[in-house]
Amino acid sequence: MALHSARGKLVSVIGDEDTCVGFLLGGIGEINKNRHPNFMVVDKNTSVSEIEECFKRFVKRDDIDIILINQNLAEMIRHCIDSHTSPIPAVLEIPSKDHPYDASKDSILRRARGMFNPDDIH
Amino acid sequence: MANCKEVDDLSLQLLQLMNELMSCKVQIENSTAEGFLYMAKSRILLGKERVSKLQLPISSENGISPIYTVSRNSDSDDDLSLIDRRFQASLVIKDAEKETSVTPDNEEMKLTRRIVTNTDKTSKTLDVEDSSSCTETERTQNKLEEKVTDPLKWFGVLVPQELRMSQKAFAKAVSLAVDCANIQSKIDATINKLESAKMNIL
Repeated sequence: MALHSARGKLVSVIGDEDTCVGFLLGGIGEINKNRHPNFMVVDKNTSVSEIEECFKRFVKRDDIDIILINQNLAEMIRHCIDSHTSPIPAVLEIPSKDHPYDASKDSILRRARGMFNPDDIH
Repeated sequence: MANCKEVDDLSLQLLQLMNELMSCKVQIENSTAEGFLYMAKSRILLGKERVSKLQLPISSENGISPIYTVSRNSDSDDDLSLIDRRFQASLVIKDAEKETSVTPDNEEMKLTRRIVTNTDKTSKTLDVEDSSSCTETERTQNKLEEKVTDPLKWFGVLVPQELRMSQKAFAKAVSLAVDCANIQSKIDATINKLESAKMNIL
């Protein structure tokens, strides 16, 4: 009982192959008894709708508290991420191997900048 | 006047949190870049296919269990903290040992097993008392060890040091991600307070 209650919530990842392999190597990967993974490997054949569906699935799950997503993939589903204003699960845009972090594109920072200049929201 | 001061304080707080978030994200970038570099070195040593998504045990029957999870602390403003489930395993074992040491007759640990067999469409139960060496502590330990496996094992028995360094770098990135999530939730809360403070002025 103590073990189950202290298990904690998951960190999920939506990213390219190297990002997913890296973070799973780091120890956050899970495939539960229903064979649902907490990660999604995105390649050049993955459609935008698949990424969007996966993101929405992770948001709906109550065992996921953090969603890591490559920033270039977050750009593809920006409308989804901007409409997610709930603090749980936290959505973190992370850089990938080929796309460095750009603070001007980060959703949360754009919202914060919008408090000082309304033009910065868009 | 008090409302204006509140707006100023919250604005400064927001700017500070934004700065913290950006520096945290840069640290994640540095950490993952280090992880990618070591991963690339491991690929040179092991081969491209040996360090790829093909090694992930997606089709494994037992599934994968995470080493790191997160939990919310109700004491400190619902901040997230990282749980290392390998460490947790040893704590549970210690708790189990403490519990067993309380009982007066624990010189011989007895285990009751029920064997249910189906013979001629009837079920029989057989109670067996066995003073075996399989204690409650060991069963808990075995259960936890089965669950939490080192992801390095997916890539082979003898893995190069570079892959271990890559694992360390990504584990550090996970810890930084938890810090980022906490800063983000503080930014969210500050934005909400700032919006309501601005409304009060208007």
